[in-house]
Amino acid sequence: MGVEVRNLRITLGNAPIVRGVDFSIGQGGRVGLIGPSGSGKSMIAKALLGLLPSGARVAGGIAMEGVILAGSSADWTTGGGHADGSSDHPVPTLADDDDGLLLAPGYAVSDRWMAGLRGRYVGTVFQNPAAALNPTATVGQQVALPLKRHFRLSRAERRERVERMLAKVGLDPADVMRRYPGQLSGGQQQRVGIATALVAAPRLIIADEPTTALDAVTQRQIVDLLVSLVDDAGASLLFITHDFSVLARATTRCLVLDRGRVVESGPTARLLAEPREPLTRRLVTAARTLTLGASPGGMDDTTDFGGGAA
Amino acid sequence: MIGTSKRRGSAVRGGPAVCGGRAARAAGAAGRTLYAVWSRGGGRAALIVIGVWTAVALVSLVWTPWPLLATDGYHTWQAPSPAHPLGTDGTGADVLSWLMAGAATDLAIALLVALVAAVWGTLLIAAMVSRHGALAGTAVVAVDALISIPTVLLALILAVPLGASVAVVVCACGFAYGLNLARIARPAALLAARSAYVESALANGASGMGVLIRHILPNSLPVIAVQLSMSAGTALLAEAGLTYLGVGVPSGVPSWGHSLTTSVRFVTVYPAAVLWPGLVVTVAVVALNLLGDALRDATDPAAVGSAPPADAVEPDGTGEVRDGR
Amino acid sequence: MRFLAQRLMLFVAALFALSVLVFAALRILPGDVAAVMAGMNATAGQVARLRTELGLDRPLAAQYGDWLAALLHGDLGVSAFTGRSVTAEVAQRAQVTFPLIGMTMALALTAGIPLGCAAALARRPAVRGAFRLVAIVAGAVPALWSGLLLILLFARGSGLVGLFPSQGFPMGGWRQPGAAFASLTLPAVASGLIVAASLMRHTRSALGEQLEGGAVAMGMACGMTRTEAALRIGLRLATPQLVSVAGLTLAQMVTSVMVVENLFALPGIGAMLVTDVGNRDLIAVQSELFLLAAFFLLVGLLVDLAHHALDPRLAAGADREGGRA
Repeated sequence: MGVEVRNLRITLGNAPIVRGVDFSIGQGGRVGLIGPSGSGKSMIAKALLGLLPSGARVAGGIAMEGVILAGSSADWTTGGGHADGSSDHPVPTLADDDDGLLLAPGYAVSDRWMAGLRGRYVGTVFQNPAAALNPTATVGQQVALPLKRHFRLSRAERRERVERMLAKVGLDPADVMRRYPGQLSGGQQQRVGIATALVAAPRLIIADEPTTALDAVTQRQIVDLLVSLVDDAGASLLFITHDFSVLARATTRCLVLDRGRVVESGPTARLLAEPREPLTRRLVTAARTLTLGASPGGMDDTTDFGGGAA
Repeated sequence: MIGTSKRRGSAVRGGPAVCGGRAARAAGAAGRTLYAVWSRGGGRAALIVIGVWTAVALVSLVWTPWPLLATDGYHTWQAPSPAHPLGTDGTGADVLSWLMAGAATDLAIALLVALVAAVWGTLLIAAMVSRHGALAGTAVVAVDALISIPTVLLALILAVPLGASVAVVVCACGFAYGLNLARIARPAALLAARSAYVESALANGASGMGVLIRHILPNSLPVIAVQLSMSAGTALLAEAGLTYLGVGVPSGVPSWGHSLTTSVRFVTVYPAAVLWPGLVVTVAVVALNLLGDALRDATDPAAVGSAPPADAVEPDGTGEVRDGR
Repeated sequence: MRFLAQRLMLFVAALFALSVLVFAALRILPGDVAAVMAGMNATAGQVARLRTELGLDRPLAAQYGDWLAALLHGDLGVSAFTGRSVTAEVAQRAQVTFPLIGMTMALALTAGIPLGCAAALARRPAVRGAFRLVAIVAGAVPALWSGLLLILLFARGSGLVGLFPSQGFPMGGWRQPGAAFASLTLPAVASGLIVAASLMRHTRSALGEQLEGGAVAMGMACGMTRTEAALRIGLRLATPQLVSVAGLTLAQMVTSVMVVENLFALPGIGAMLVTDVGNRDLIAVQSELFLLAAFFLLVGLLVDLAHHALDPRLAAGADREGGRA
């Protein structure tokens, strides 16, 4: 699903978190956001999902599939840095049950409208599955949640789709369906997280540091799994991380963020091969050291590094 | 290791003062915290109310508009007048004078309860975070068990041998709020007790008591201060209740609970008399709670540096029972 | 299982310690109990006879043993003043007190939890501030005062709007359910206010914590609105904490319940206890205090067990570390 972000600014209380970020993701595109902690990358993901904490404000534009979620049409007619130049983005009208409440200052849509998007058209994989998965729900209930929210399926149909999804992420449905997240390993938990994000066949996947809480070997498996599933589905991917070695496997293009601004952007392979900005260089070096330490020989060839590039 | 202690020091303001100049640094930290409390709306209101309360209490020790025992059988239940700004009670005594004198008693009760709760709570915290597994486990479960005994029952038990007395209020409330304090401060204390800094201090031969005083308590101080402030407020409510039940402040001794109790009997005849004592207690309790809230905001590491109204990280409360086991 | 065993053992130990405490508190009375009980004008012979009657001339250990043995058989003794069986008296008065406690708690839960949810979910700083202030002020009103104000406003006969009776309990008790219910309404509101405020604050803080946690975000990411995720997932996850809080609040609200029982002239356990303590009715007070304290210990135990059963992390039994970043 196409995503456009123009001059996005986010403040939390009085503190600016994101200070003007532009990017777009095309149909089936895989874009990475990388930066140190506090660079605002997670806030951008939360802004796209309408999950910003209370006290946050957005300014600037966010559009998905041409529908404006945040910002006025002025954001799209002026300063248009993007080629498609269409100023005819429709602004969704609020449904009757919205109570006219906008999501947060700066949004053009209500939380209910966004909720219709989340889980159905946009799937999210969270950083820490142990905290994200509802500890009181079984794996079966957890994965079925997006289906329950968005589709009218019979119990059997839902169960069948959940089982198929669990098998796709490499879990044995018969084994895990009735278990609770607390009874699974970290890697298994994140597989459940991915299954939940993908079960309704969304057109955009937002993965917010999906591997940070995992060990090196599991990280690689999870990234590969996620990328292959996203590719199979033909969905777009926004991948957020602070680790270039993960990004190289997952994305084709990426933006380097520092304190709320984009400092460098381009194809992931190019950034890895010839980083220009000091921050990019630092991140690349860190990734090399880490990956070399974790799996010797895996990093000797930078072209291989960007091997996921389409 | 230096990094650890440094980070902790900055994370918890008024935190551990590790070596020399401890008193000076603690005073500086207390001053900063006080200023941070003052710079918040609620905190400022709280400090003003508590300041006025203290001033009135001190003044009442040497002067009240009328002597407390100046009764006048001909002028009972008087409406407010220039001579008696808040009117007179059922014995013709000046309501304002009794409320002023009550301010002193209630201030003393609030402070004493906070003191008893602090000492008793600290002992319990020390036991709960002790390295002696059996002691710690027993302390945790014992607190869980004892905390369910109502304050008023303790007061009634104590009142049988002691009669109505300030000591009953102080002991019963101090005991109960000490348990609450221990339960709420335990997570913070446990975090400090298991920190790398404490590990190394112990490895270097520091005594358990020394570590408790120099490190664990300072790091739990924000939580403790907040809880004590709220407990002082609850103590005022308890004083009013226990005095009414006849096991709190003895009759003849001025207190807000006493003033409230005197107004009860003729409530339907002289409703206006009910207003002032209740209002005074409520305002004082609100002030102590606002102080607690402001203290929490001021000492919360998450809020440090950010603008106070950043409502996003609204630290509330109550921090109750953050699952201990 | 180990937790359960430990908690049960502590319960029994606390019960035992409590019985000793109650017994001791009533034996260290200044002066001669029998003399006090016999009254001012009693002759030495009468005092001595009373002493023998009550068994006060026997060794303390024997007295304690007898009392404990009788307790275990459900025999709470006989009031020295009224000559009535304490068991019967308690059973009759429990019909007022326990419904009152129940109504207070029900009111507090139905008001406090929804308001707490609304407070946690409010986005506008002004609204959040208003909720915060409401909770603080409502929690600072002494039960005695709110009771008086309710009498002035709503009491039949004397209030501005005569809606509810304000004195006494119907003679027929619960055989006149309407009248009985009406007579408990104002008292329940009076004592429920503080409890509701406390529950509101705790709900806001517990739910607020969950709102920042991952599970609510996950629910939203699956297609729930913030409100839906908060109420369906956040509230469920906050439940163990809220159960603990409700248990603690129950213990703390007993003071208010006793105050309103006296204020509204309800023939409940609280009123009985106050009278008996005032009369120094040794036998009755001893058994009543122990019985009530034991009841609350039991409630505490049940609350702890419920908390344990409801907490998914504890119930799943797979307490892996590193669960939360």
